[in-house]
Parts: sequence; structure tokens; C-alpha cells
Amino acid sequence: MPESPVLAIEHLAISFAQPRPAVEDVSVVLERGEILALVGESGSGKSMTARAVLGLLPPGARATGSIRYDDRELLGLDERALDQVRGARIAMVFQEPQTALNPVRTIGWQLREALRAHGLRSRKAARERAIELLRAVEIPEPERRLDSYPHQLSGGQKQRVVLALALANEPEVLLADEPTTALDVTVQAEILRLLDRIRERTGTAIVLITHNMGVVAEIADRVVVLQAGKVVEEGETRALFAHPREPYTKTLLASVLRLPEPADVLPVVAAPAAETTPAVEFRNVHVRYGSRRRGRAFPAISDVSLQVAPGEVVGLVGESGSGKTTLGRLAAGLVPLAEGQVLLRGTDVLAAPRAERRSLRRGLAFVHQDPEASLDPRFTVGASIREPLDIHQVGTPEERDARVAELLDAVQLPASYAGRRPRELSGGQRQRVALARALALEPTLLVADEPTSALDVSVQARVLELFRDLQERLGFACLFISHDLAVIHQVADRVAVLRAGQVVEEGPVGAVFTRPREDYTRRLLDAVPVPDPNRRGRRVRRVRELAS
Amino acid sequence: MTLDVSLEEPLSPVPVGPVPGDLAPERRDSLLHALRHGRGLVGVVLVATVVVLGVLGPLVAPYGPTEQIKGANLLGPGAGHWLGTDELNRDILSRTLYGIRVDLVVVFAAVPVGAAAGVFLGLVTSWWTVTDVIAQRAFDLLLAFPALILGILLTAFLGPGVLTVGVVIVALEIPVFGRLVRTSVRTVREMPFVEASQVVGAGPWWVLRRHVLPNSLEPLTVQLAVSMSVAVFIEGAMSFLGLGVRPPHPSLGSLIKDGVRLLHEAPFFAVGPLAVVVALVLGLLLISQSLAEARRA
Amino acid sequence: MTRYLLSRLGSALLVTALASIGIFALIRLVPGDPVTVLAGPDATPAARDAIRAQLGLDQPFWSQYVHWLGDLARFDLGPSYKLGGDVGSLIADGALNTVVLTLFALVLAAVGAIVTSTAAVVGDRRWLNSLLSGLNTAAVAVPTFATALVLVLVFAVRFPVLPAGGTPPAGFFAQPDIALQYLLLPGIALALPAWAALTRFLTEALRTQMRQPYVTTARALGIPRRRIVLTQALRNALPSTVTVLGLQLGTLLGGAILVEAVFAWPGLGRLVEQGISARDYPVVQVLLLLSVVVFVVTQLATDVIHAWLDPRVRLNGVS
Repeated sequence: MPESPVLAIEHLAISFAQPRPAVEDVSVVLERGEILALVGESGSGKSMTARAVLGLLPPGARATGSIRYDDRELLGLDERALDQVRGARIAMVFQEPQTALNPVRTIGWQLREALRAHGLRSRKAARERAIELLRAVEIPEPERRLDSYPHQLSGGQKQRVVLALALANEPEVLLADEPTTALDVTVQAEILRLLDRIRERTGTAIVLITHNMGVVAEIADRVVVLQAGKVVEEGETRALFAHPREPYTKTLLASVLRLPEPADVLPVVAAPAAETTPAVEFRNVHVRYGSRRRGRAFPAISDVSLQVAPGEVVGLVGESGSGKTTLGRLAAGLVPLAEGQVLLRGTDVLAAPRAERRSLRRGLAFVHQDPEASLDPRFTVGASIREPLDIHQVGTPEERDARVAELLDAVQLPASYAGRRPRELSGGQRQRVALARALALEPTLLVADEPTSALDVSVQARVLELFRDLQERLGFACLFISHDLAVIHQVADRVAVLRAGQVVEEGPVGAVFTRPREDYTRRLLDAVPVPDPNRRGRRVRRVRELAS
Repeated sequence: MTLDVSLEEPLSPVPVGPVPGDLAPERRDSLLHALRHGRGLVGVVLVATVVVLGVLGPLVAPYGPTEQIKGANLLGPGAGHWLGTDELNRDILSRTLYGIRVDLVVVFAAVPVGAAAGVFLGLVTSWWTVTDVIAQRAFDLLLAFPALILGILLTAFLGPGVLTVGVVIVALEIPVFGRLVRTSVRTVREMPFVEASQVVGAGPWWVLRRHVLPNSLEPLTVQLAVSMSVAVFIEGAMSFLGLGVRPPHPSLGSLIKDGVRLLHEAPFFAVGPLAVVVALVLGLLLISQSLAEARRA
Repeated sequence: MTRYLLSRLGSALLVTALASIGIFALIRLVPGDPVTVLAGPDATPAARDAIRAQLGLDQPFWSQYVHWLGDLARFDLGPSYKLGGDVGSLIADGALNTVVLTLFALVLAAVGAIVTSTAAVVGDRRWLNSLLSGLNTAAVAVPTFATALVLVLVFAVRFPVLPAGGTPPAGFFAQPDIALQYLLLPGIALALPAWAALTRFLTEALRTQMRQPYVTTARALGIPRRRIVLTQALRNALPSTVTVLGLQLGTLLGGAILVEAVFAWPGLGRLVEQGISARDYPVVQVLLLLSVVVFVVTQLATDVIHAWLDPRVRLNGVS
């Protein structure tokens, strides 16, 4: 006899004052003890659906339809009644562990508040329960951690604390909104395993909201695919990955970048680079942050040597804090060099006379990670792209405008976009404009700092394709920084793996990714969730082998 | 601590102000829109009324500002003298209308001069660490004196008068705007779009002129309205203490002062000038509030 | 944290030192010779020189300055030129009155602001917000001297329930209830604009906090909204509010000059006014320096409190 579902959402619709509703028609059923993945790109309404369950929609939102928990209607309950459900029956975990905890209260205090909200008032009992919870989310030395503030924990530990808060009152349903998106891959793998264990131990049903197909394949029992506020397809994970029915699901799965199987393919032996002057060369560079005078300087880059040949794309990978971004910014001249030399086209930039430094600079360009902030909001698209030409006063104003049109065309945007403001563009379009601006002066070296990380997978795939195409056509060298190994595999010729400010491994992408020499590289590769449910568990075994 | 809050304060300038940041593309329009509706419109109407009264003062005033009228000693408000007369037989309405002109000079000349000087100094100094530290210490020093104490001190040099009030206000506004611009410079120069242009070779001046200044105009406009209302207070307070316009010439502050002196004999005296001061300050405040709100929206 | 505070202390000392030199120099540049004021217009050159030498005004600038610093350190400030009496006791008498008044107003403003802002955010009703915002704008738009006047007219002249001015005859501490009556009107007049500015800031800060992700986390745990405002949002909004409170103290001191004038309150504000018009150097320069010291100490104190309230600064020393 089938049990009644623990949570049933029927014909949920959420609308704001805007013309298009955020959620149009979503029906989802969650069975006891299962992990259900809610998948979709930005704007699909997956987060809104989850927030609606707990009545946490932003002000001005109107929700209709039905949300039943244990046959009790949740939609339309008043705050007081909702507070009885929140945390106690249904709990929620959010994406950004950095800001999800109160910065001025200790971990112990926050756990105590969560327990107090549902009746546990004794301080002693609350303390014991808090330690127990921290132990359950596998935080070492829980007694000591109670007195820590959030800023004293790492991102992964913070997310564990957030999980502990959510689990404090033994909810039957856990809504997890992109719980691992902001974390490094190795940490992501640990948190996913933890979620799986929590489900096994407590029988809590989990709704996992994510855009990452790899994460879905790794952990979910069932999948619901959302697009533009509607359910497009749902099914058992294995079946859905093997035989997607809807075209949208197919595109979504096809856009996912995959890493090569370890050692499946023999590495292609890269042709030895011709003896040319590298576009950029780092010679034993060091970068330190903080004031050196006060002796608190903290090394961001230690003794790195690396070359990028003309027309070559070198990927920089590593976890947060590995120094990959700093190295890229060093090439662009955005961070001061502490020791060593940076050579652009064979010339030491810092030693060069002023005029030459300026001409060396002309050959550089930089594309930033954040599409929100990479264009001046006051400039039109055309003015942004023209800016490098204006700085160097290239040609007549008419010629510059013609060049803008040419560049827009190159990044596959209509020339009419020159008059638009960044606000009127989507994230992918803004990154195209940023790319066009970077190419305006025909650079010899482009530094791209996670240029596609903020984009949806399908958009990312198109932007990467465009990038690769332009790179082949224009032949600039590139330092491509990314935390996403699959992206690097897609665009880079060579790859340098960074860890704690040092290059641990370097070589052709194919070779490094299929036959990593270093343990660290292997661990990174293994932690990447594989978008194939059939290979679930195999990876975990490998990680355990390595750990022992 | 970068809360996007503008503070309105009567006497001393505050170095906390609106911070530049995400700006809507139609922001000029949205600022103008804010001034054409609701609170902003009320503010514009109030300020415009006071300005018109001040500009047309000499034409509409029934008497001269220092003209003594026979037999009209401390009369209450009535048909001949709408706001009554003072103890020297002068028409208070006429004196008020002339008095507005002093405040107009202070508000619409001294504040913009101080603001422009502060913006210039802030822009020029805050890019380089050395000049920045020097300028910031100098601003600290200026801000260390409460506004009125600075006023009293400067009056000791320059003697009382409109010019002195103007100089005090310029001196007060320089650090306020200097700091505001510094915040802008520090925020905007970290923005990715500025880095992108620096990488291809944009120098400090280019960045300051093309990116920083345009992106700071909005917080500066809001602060300008706040500073103008503060300036009205300062003129009032200085004249109230006898540091402003010299008698027998009227200003709003000195009229209020006389009103206080004759509070028991003629309680109606201060009403007119007070109403004008409140209207002007309220109008400017409403303008600044509506601008700040439009910016945040 | 210690390092952070030491650097703040260094810059505070620098500002004070520069200000003291500046004040000392400025005062000497003020037109009008105190010797003429003291000796009268008909004095002989010899008599004037005698007075000059007696006051030490014939010494070079730096020697006068060092001498003055020494006097300050010993708190032996000598006689005033004109106002009569010893500078030290003149200032000490005025200081008590001003400090009591200003602190009273500061407490009124701070307590008032916390109560109204939390009420506005916890209540979150449209009419309540409009009412508070209207009151707020009115409190800022009416000049301090005007509020002071209205208060006197209403509560001392029309309905004579409170004294119209002056300080309590028995002092502040002998009969606190009487003292409170004397403090109430000037205190409210002084506190009103500070209350308005603080309320506006704190309300906005609380609203910003309520939009932070940690508040969403707390709400998702079933913690009631009111409890979140009181135990979490307020605690987070406090550090920046303390900074604004420190700045308000400067505003209050400036406003005190006006309020003291209206309420015939014999404090430092009146002393500054009289000192300047009488060209009484010794009084004025000490008062100016005092105002700088108060500003600098307040800044330092708010920095310390700010750092102490924020564990990220307290434990890591980052600001």
C-alpha cells in the first residue's frame, strides 16, 4: 500500500507585479525519505517554489494553488501558524553559506535560538543537543565550535552549521536550495555525501534544488525539470538521464560539459611549442597581500613560473584561495608584484620605460567574472566597447564606431545593441559585450577570470563556443581562470593546477586530466560530480582509496 | 558600514552619505520623475515659492527693509502690516522678504561653491595614498569643530556679515563633499569595469573623469540638497547669535532672534520668518528624500 | 584588535596636536589686540608694554605655545583677560552644565531612536511608518532654536508647568526631581534633531538587516519575526549606529550653543560666545581645543565600541 506523500504541491502559481509570473503551474509530490531534485536554469522558478512552501516569498508575491504537508494546507497560513511548521516539520537550507549565518552571534547561540523557537528552553539541554547536532554534521571538536563566530569557520563548515540548524528540530522535509553551488568541488562532494547519510539515518525527505546535472546524478532518486515556471518533465533519475523525453531536457543534458574518463583515452602528445617569445611569462613570481611593513603579509602566490605561448590558451584551475585569480590579475597588472619578473612579449613590464609599458599594456585585455559589474552602468554598450579605442585614440571617431559594429558582429550581437544599456541585457549578452571590449585593441594576451561561471549551462556552452571560435580566428593567447575543470577541458590547450599559491602540476589538458601525476589533481578530478547516475558510487570508492 | 542612507542633520555635516553603486540606466529620468511627483513635487513647490518671494522681494514688499513707519510700534498682524511691525517701527513682512535674499545667496551660492571645491579636492587627492592621507587628516581637522564653533572662530577674523556666513558654509561643505567623493573613488575604482579599462591602459584621470565622476553624481545631488538645508540652519543659527548679517539689515536668522527677544511683548513677531525658514528647509529635505528614494529604487 | 586601536589612537593624537597648533596660531591672528582691550585706548606705550610682558605676549610664538601646553598639562590656565576669574574655574563651571545637558539629550535621543525604530520595524504598519516618517521630517525641518522657542512658549509661558530657563538652583544632584524639570525643555529641544537623524538611520539599518540572508535562515527555522528584530537585526545594526551616535554628539555640542542661549543656561556655549566677543584669548583657545578633544575622543570611543561589538573586528582586527 503506497504511503501518502509527505509533501504535495499542486498547481502552484506565483506572480509579482511583473507581466510574467515567476511560477506558472508546478505540481510536485515528495515521498517520505526520498531525495527529489528540482532542476532548472535561472528564472525557472525552482527557488520560488521552495520558498513558497515555507511562506518565505519576497514581499509583493502572490501564490495560488495548493501546498499540502501531511494533508495540511500550508498556503495561506498566517505567520504564527507557519512558524509552527518552519524548522519543526519542514526546514530549509540556502545557497550562500557565507551570509546565511548571523555574523555577530556564536554558532552555539544560533543553534540555541533554533531549538528555543520550538520549545527547548533549558540552556543545558540546548547545549547538549547543539553538540550532538554539530557531531551529526561531522564538525570536529563540536564543544569548542559552539563559541566560534561564523567568520572563524570555512565555507564548508558554515554550510554544515546551516545544515545543523535546519536539522535541529528533526524535520521530516528538508528543502535545500543550491546548497553546494558556492563551495569548492571537494567540499561539495563531502556535503552531498553528508546529505545522503542524513537521509539514511533520519529518514528525512530532501528536495534538492540545483542547476548542476552532475549533482543530480550523484544523489537524487527522482528528478523534476522546470522551465520558465512549469514542470517540463519528471522521472526516476536513471531513466531520465538515459532517455530524456522532452527536447528541453535533452538540451539541458547536452549542454553539460563532461570530463574525460580517467586514463580511458591515451593522452595526445602535444606538439612541442615552436621557439617563440611567450605572450606572457612569469619568472619565479611572488605576490603578497597585506602590509609588508607590519609584517603581516600573507603569501598569495609563491614562486610560480609559467609561460603562455602566443595563440595558446592556458587554463588555471584550483580551489578558492589557491591563487589562480591572483595570478591572472598579476598578468593584467592589477596586483603588485612582490618578487620575480613578469614578462610581456619578452619584456619585463616593470623594468620597461613608461612609453613602452603603455604599448605593452595595449596588448592586454581582461574579462571579469561578474556580468553584473563588468560594464559601467552609465555607458551604452557601444561606449563600453569603444572605451579602449578612445583611451588610445585609435583612428577617427567614425572609424571607432565602425569598429564597434564589427566587434558586436564578431560576438554575434546585432549592431543595434550599441545603443543599449547594460541593464537591458541578459548575463550572457553582457559577457559577450565584455568580450567584444576586450578584443577591441586586438590583444596578444587575454586574461579571462571565470568569464562563464555566473551563466546558466546552456548559455555557458554558447559563450564558450564563441570564445573558442574567436580565439582560433584572432589567435590571441589566453589565461583562462576557472574552478570548473570541465570548462577548462573544453577551452584550454594546457592547464596549470594551483594549490595554496603554487603550481602543483602543469601540462597539456588531455594528459593532466586523464593521467594526473599529483594526488591533489586526482582528488580534484574525482570530486567533480559526473552527470551519469550509473557511475554513482564508483567515484566515492576511488576517493576512499585515495584517502586511505 | 556602507548603508545606503542619507542623513539629514541640522547643524553639523556628517561624513556618512549615500554610496555610489548600482545605477539604473534611466536614472536621470527617474530623478527628474521623483521631483515631479509626490514628496519631491511638494519640496520643489516649497523651495520655488521661497525663491520667488526672495527674488521678487523688492518689488512686492510694501516698505523698505529699514524704513521706519511713524506710529507703527510693535503692531500686531493686521491689514496694513500682515506680519506686524517691530519695536523700531519697521514692517516685518518687508524685512522678511528682504531677509530671504541673504539665505538664497547662502544656499544657492555658498553651498555649490563649497561642494565644487570639496568634490575637486576629493577627486584630486583620493587616488594616491599619500595625498589621500593628508587630505583625509585635513578633512578630519575641519570636521572636528562643531559648525557653530567654526562659525564663531571665522567671525572673529572676518567680522560678522553675509560673506562670513558664506565662508563658514564653504569651509563646512568642503570636507563633507570631499569625503563623499572619496567613498565614490574607493568604491568605483574597485569595480570590474574600471579594472577592465585600467588593464588596457586607462590612467587615473581617465578613470576619475569617465567613470568615477559620472557614477557619483547621484549621491552628490542628494547630499547637495541636504547640505543646502543645513546651510539655512547655519545662517539662522549664526544670525541668531549675532554673527551673521549686521543690523539694521535683515536676515531670517536675525529676525527670529529679534522675535525671541520680544517673545513676551510680541509673540507674533517670529512667526513669519520662522515659517519661511521651515518651508525652505522642509522643501530641501523633501527633495533630498525623494531623490534618495528614487536612487535606491 | 590592539594593533587596530593603536593605529586609531596615533591618528587621534596627530589630529589633536595639529589642531592645538592651528588653534593657537589662529587665535593670535585674530584682528584686535587684547592689550588694547585690557589697557584701554588711552594707555601709554610703556603701560601697554608692561601688560604685554605680563601676559607673555612679547615672547616668540613657539615659546608661547610650549608655555601654554605646560599650563594645560598642569591645568593651571591662569586668569582670563576680560571675563573675570580663573580660566580653569570658568570652564569647569560651564563644563558641568553643558555636559549634563548634552548627555541628557544624548540619552533621550538614543533611547528614543531605539524605541521608535524597533517599533517601526516590528510593527511594520503603513500608518505607523507614515506617522514616524512625518514626525521625523518635522523634527529635522524645524530649527533647534525654533523648537526651543515653541517649547518655552507652550510649557513655560502658556501653561507654566516647567521653568523657562536657567539651571536648577540646588545643583543637579541634590534634588534630582527638580533638576529634571529644569533639564526637560532644553534637553528635548536639543535631542529632537539627533533623535530624528538616529531614528532615520537605525530604521533603515534594521530594514537592511531584515533583508539579509541570515534573517531568512532564522525565519525558515520558525523564529518569530519580532524576536529576530530584537535579538539579531538590532544587534547587527548596532555597530554602525554607534558610529552615527558619535557623530551626533558633535551636532549636540553645536546645538547646545543655541539652546543655552535660549534657555539662559550658563554652559560652555555661552562662554565661547562671550569669550570671542570680548577677545578673551585664554578662554577661547582652551574651549576650541576642548571641542577638538571631545570630537577626537568621541571618534576613538565609537571606534572602540564598534570594534568590540563586531566579532569580526574584535577577533581578527580587520575593519
